[in-house]
Amino acid sequence: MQINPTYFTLLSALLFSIGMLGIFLNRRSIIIILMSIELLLLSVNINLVAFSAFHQNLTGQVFTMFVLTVAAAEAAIGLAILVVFFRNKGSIRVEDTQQLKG
Amino acid sequence: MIDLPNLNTILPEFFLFISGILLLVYGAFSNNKNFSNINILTIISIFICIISISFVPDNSSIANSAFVNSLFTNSIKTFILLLTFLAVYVSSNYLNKNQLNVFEYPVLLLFSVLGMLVMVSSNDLIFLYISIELQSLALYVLVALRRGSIKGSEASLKYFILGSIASAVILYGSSMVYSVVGSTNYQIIKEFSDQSYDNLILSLGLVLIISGIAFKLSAAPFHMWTPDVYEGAPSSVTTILVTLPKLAALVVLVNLLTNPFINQVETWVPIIIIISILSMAIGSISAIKQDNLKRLFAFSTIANIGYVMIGLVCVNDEGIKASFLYMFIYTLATLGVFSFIMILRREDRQLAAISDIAGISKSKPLLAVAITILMLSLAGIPPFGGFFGKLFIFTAAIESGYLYLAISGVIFSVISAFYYLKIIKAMYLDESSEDLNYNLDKKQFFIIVFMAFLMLIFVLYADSLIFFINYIYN
Repeated sequence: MQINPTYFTLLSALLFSIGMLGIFLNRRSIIIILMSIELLLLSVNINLVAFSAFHQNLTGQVFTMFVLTVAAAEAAIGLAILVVFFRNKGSIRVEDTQQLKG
Repeated sequence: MIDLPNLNTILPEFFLFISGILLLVYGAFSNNKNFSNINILTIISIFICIISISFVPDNSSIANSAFVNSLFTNSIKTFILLLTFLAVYVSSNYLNKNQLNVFEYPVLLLFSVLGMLVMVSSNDLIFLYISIELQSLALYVLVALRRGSIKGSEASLKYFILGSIASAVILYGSSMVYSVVGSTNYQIIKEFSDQSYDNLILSLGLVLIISGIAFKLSAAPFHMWTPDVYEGAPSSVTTILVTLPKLAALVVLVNLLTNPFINQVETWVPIIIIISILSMAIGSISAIKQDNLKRLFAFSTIANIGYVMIGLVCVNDEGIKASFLYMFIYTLATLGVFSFIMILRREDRQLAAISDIAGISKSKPLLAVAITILMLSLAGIPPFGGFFGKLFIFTAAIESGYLYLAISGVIFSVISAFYYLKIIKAMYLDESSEDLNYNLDKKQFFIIVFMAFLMLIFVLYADSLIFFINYIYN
């Protein structure tokens, strides 16, 4: 059974929007922001894989493999930076990132 | 029989990658006291990489033309590597004085430059995304180099979060383009848009990609991270942030807009106009109230990116050449300015406030003259380089019928002259409270004076420079 790719697009757009809202409406922990960034990247994968099947070529799936690799690297670097920040500040609350402004 | 690709096509990138890995291994197995060795090896590998560019065949491509070389990309790569050399050369003393002389610094810089070189050559959305990520991931870590400082880690955190959002937006735009075209190659996207140039999804994907790249260029309204990151990062890293990624992102934007998306002119020209005017306005007006030199020059960067964008709006070769000329002048002038910020020290602290440079004209007259030339050049005062950059940009805009862009550009450059002149006033007219411990080493002094000299004698080599840009951009 062939599912209309529009549904995949809608699912991907919905997950991307949830990720964006998670970043901008979140007032608590920075960890939630990192999770939302993962969600942004992975929602794009749904789009790519669905249209890879729709177009009958592998480009989208190859792209997905690269995106997964980059997402892993990004999570590692993000958590490392967060650990450095926590050591200095003793907190990972979003309100506590206000040293730099003006 | 497998058809092996010609390795010469990717020789500079391949060499940079191998040398980065080898330096990483060397740094990890030596006892962290070999910073100067690694610095020298980095400079040597940058120069070998520049030489290896001459072995790259013109108009060659690899991986189904996902990575293409031309005279233009080779020249831009040479310029990026030369700027990297200058940035490494000028910052060694700063790094030693601030206990930032860890081996990771040059290695991460090399990987970031590798990302930029691939960005310049990328002809495929996959290559584009991967190279932008490689470039940014290395820079996120470099910004957090001062591990003990709250400001440094906070700047890095902000840069990481906002930069990742921008990358994700580029990625989502790429997936939209792929969903209608069925390929990520620029040529195939161009062929597709020749037939259906008013495809809504394609235009939406283009808008998302432009917003992501505008973030990397720190153009308004995607500029919020710029002042915070520039202030929190070590000055040597800020020197890299204001020059190299901007140049690479500009090349990527020009490649995208003039090659696969040239049929979508009606979509992207209004966006670039809005970005341009907003950047000039926010950059010029917000900088007025800044006391910190690094924040001030962050806003100056935003304003300069606004001028560069005017050249893209013209949608002709003249405008794009003017943009690259402006970018060339801007990168050299800001390199000089940030070398100056690196030398401001009192006792054991780095300084960056405008009040700290008061009275420099008395203790270091030659330095004050050089900085004055750089400021006047950035403000666009006639005999210096920055004036000619703005002149070509505005001429191109008027010839393409964007008189209002040229007029607003002139108005905003008059406004921004205020804060450049404020710096000159602080150096010459204000009395210094206590003496600076300048920590002036020969390398930094040489770079500042050399950049000022380049801006001063711009009239003499302007013709050959313009001829060269005409020659490579075809």
